[in-house]
Amino acid sequence: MSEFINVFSYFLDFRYVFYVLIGAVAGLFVGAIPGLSVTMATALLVSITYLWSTTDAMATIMGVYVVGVFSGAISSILINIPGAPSSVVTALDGYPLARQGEAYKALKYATVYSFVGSMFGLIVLWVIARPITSLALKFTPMDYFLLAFFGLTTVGSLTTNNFSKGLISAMIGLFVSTIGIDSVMGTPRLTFGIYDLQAGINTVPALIGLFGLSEVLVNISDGNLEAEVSKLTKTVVKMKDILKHLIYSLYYSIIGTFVGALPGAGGPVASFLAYNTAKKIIKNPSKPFGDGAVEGIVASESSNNACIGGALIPMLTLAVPGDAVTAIILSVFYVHGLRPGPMFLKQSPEMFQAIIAAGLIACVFLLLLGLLIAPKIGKIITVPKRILLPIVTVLCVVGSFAGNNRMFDVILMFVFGIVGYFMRKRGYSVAPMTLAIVLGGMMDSNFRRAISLASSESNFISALFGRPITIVLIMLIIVTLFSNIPAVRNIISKDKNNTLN
Amino acid sequence: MQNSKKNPFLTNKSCQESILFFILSIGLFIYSLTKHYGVVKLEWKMSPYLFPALISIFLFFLSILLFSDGLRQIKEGISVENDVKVSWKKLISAVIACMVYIIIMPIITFIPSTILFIGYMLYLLGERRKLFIIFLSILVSVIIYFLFSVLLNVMLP
Repeated sequence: MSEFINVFSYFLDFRYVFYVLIGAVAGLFVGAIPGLSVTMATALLVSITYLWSTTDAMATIMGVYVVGVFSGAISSILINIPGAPSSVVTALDGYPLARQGEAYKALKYATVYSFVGSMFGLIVLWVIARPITSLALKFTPMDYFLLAFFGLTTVGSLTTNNFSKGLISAMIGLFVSTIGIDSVMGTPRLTFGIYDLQAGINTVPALIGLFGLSEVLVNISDGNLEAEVSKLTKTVVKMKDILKHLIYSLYYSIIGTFVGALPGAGGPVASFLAYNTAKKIIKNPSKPFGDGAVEGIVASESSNNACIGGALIPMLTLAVPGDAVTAIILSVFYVHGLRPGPMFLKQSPEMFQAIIAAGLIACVFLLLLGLLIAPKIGKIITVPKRILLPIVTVLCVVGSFAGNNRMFDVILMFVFGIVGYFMRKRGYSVAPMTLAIVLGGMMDSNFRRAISLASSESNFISALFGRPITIVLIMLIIVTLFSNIPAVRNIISKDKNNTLN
Repeated sequence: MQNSKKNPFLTNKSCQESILFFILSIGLFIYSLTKHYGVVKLEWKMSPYLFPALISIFLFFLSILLFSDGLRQIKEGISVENDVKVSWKKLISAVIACMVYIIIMPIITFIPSTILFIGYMLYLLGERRKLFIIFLSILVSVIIYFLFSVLLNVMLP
């Protein structure tokens, strides 16, 4: 009960609400403008909020996160260019609906069901974080290593069409994470005599480069610098009609929260799964799916926003981020001296409450901004990229410099921007690399700790792999790896075809 | 016509990339072994080079997997070409502009270098209204400086 009161006391703290509002407004524009992503904005915010108090930083970042994930739908509906990867599915029905003169209706559905999804995910986070924490306390160093490895294998399989490319991206990230002074023995490794590398690769410039500068370069090289907006006329859409889909939306939210909680999976996967489910369970949609069915928008938006709460579950309880944004939020925690993991809820309950409160306040702003402001920002989201891209580049430079006040970080950002550009152009997702850079240090130290502990036991193998949690994690990794081997994939798809025939 | 005569292994992107990662994995493995036995002289379980060595082994197998994927593409005649045409001229100009910006910023300070950078980038990306370029580049540089340096207390170069 006291926790409930503590969370809602933040609603009366105007300073806190104001910080969430700043983030929410920023998220609305960042998410809606194609070329700017929530991940990029969060990475930039990390550097800006270095000097802020942790709660203020968290309030702003949660505002950006919650509203930014929703506002990707605005550009999906109005210009058929998803503002965020998780809104790709929204465009399938949102844009056709807008072309039929019902853009306002599509936006209203997207707003209401993004709100429902976000609230659902955050409530689930609030309720089940403690039980998961008590389970996490039983984790050994080997389990942490395997859990992070499982995260990398899932993100590798879900974010690219080619599994080996996904895993290669993760391996490059792990390689990058090993550069610098070794945390266990204190010896420099892979620094090649460069003094500035001894402190390791700072995650903030790496992330800004991978998500910010590389996106700028992709836009420049592809030459897609303009967009066309659908006409938006205000129409009456009854709330009663909108809320007819509430039960289904809760079902999609469950899918979203679950997928979000899987390390590495995120909004795009959740919305595709929910959309496919909607196609199966809804026999008579308002319009055929793909031609402007509001049921498609409900499925996509409920699920991708529910991912937010889901992705925060492993991040807060196990220190394993659920997606790229939570990987960056994890680095905010480290920057501010906090240690997420099994002890986090015991040691910093006020921080957990602040995150939940910021998420819930951001949901309220999502509803308000989505209903009142979103229909009016059609003109702003089509700010020509020839104006936007130079500004984003300057923000990338400022953001990477701000953390440690050294030009070396700007150079790192630039290098990662180039690397990220080539990875994207060659079909390598940067998400596994991001996750690996953040998790690499933890994986390295836990792996060596596990080996050291097991070597003092009489039976090395059973000490290392003999526990039930460890066995489950190993099984999960083996299944993920084998199910993605091309030959095995072919057999599975042949079997499916035979069954269908 | 010339393209069809080229070795398919050299033109296939997966094969090209697999060779790069193969070399990287071998290099990392040799580096880890050399450093472990030459510098650290610890048991493997405590060695800082255990994890990089494992990464290199994993990367080695992945590069083989990628190569086999490339072979399959060649065998089945699948061409993995990117539909989007790359404007190399603009891209290289933008990259050079970024490099120059990063180099000159500590010398001529933030605002002048940012004005020059934004002005050049606007022109490069197709903006042709000269007064607009001058106005926007000055306005954006000053706003960013004011926002970060004055309001947010973020140090700028």
